[in-house]
Amino acid sequence: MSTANWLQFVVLIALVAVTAPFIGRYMARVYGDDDRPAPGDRFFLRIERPIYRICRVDPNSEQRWTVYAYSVLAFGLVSVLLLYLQLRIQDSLPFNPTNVPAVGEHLSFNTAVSFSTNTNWQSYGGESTMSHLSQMLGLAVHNFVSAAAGMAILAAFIRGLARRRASTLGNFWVDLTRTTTRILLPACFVFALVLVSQGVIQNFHGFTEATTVDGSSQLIPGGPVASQIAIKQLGTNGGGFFNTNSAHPFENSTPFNSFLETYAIVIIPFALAFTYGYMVKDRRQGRAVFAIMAAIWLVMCLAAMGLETNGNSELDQFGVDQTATSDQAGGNMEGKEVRFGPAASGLWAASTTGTSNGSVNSMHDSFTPLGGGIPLAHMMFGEVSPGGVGVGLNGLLIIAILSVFIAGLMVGRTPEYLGKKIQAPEMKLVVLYVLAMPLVLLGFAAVSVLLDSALTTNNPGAHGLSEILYAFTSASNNNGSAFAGLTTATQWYDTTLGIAMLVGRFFLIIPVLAIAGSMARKQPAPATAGTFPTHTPLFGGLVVGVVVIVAGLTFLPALALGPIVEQLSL
Amino acid sequence: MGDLIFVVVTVAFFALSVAYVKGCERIVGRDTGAELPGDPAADAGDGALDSTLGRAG
Repeated sequence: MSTANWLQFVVLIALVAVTAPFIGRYMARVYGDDDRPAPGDRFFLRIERPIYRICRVDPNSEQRWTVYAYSVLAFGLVSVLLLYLQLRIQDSLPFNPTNVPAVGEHLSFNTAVSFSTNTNWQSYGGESTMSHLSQMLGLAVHNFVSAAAGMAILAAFIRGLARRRASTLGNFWVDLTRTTTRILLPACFVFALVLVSQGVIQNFHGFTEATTVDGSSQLIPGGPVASQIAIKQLGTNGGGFFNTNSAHPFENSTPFNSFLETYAIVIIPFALAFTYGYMVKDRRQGRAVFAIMAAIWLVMCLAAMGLETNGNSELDQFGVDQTATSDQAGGNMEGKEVRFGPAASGLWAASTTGTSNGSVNSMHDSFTPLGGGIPLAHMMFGEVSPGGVGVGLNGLLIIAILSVFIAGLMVGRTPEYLGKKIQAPEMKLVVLYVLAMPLVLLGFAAVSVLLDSALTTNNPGAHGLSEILYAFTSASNNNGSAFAGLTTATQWYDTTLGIAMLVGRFFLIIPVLAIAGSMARKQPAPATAGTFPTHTPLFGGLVVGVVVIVAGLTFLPALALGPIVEQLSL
Repeated sequence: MGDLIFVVVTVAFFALSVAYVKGCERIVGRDTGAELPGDPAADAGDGALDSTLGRAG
């Protein structure tokens, strides 16, 4: 990698490391479990009180875990149905300057589920399928609330770990509102202005007809892009305004803009690690979680950047020059934007798949086999490094509980986490959590391989399997990035990917809330000499090992038949 | 007809999710809302965390 690539990576790490603790502390005050007023209460309460009044929410009322879960489900059901309806009748609604027709039935289902579950998988091209109203009132609004719902569930989970002999976890409607008004909206307002300053567009134009240098005609799309891209990245959503997503110059205008968006993708998930430390009143726990996330993320980023910078040996026989010179970035440039090059594309791919972001600034299908295997494996880890906003840290804490259980088995002690005993009910729920995603992923992928009608790829063999595997990995992990190469705008894929997204979201949230409810009731025991500390490098290493081993045991056979065998065949 | 099918699929999934919540509740054990047995030392020493409990919804 070039000096500029290294410099960009080091500056990104430094910026995250410096800012994450401050942002994490602020978010801890927003979700605070103490009686101190949160920062900005005087301003934000003026916005929030009318919302509570209109929605008939008592902000002082708390919910048991079951009621919290029912609230999440009710919100999810209404979100999906409302967005489905809007997409089906968008041709009759205003702000449709390009006169796009109503979205079809199975595509509406897929898109409604996708944006309501924070997946943002797109089986359509935004500029040719969505009206401006659908983009703003439908997709952008769901970008906010689906991200806020994930963060609310994390807040409830942390309260469950922190509280003692408690029967409640907070109030979902209050957490949802406060996340939106106090974290996401202010951050996105500022970030959207920064994006506009870099050349990201924000207008209500339809298509503008332009004449190219060779005299032909081209339609250039417009739209309210910056406001949507801000939440797309900060909320780890990933759904692009345009078909080419973050490779489009109106979404991602300059290399500096790309750097800022990469920072926006990872900052809230990393900051939530510190939020966790503050909320459990043991900042060492937060730092340990941050270190675990960062370790996996760093390795995956360096691997993706290195593999793409090294290039594709298969291209050498055709005389393709892959060396870096002053005229070209070098490396594997197939499917990549010249503005970004292979290193920034690899960094983006690893960062978006470690979170649940799913935006792309290059085509993952054109990565080297192992280079493409990195984003695939990163999602298969469960998106815990650093993970999607809220849900990623939930996943890592579940793995941490599994790790203390395994450590307890090894030394013959009752496992404890934060002083609370991990017993049979919690472990049953952890197993339910761990199994849900692989079951739906491998099940649907296996059926798709067997069905002739589902083989909508032009790539037979290992690469075709990687494409199918990637689609269901992305959907069931609520990531949303596409490998490309596979035609998924079919009834089969729209429906099955939609179901995979629903399972990957709600069938993981329910056991998380159940574990929180169970843990909240417990009284922590004081630490003794036999207590396994959960803030040490040893524990961090154990958690990383469990992440890799669980994913390896589950997915290695499928990976071996896909990207690994393809790499070996080069 | 297609609209009806997808609405039914969506509603059916969320109905299944409600059943999943009930299944998880059986694993955890039903919380009756009654005051849980406590540690007197903890009651005396650390009231801040527990005092935030509001009315159960």
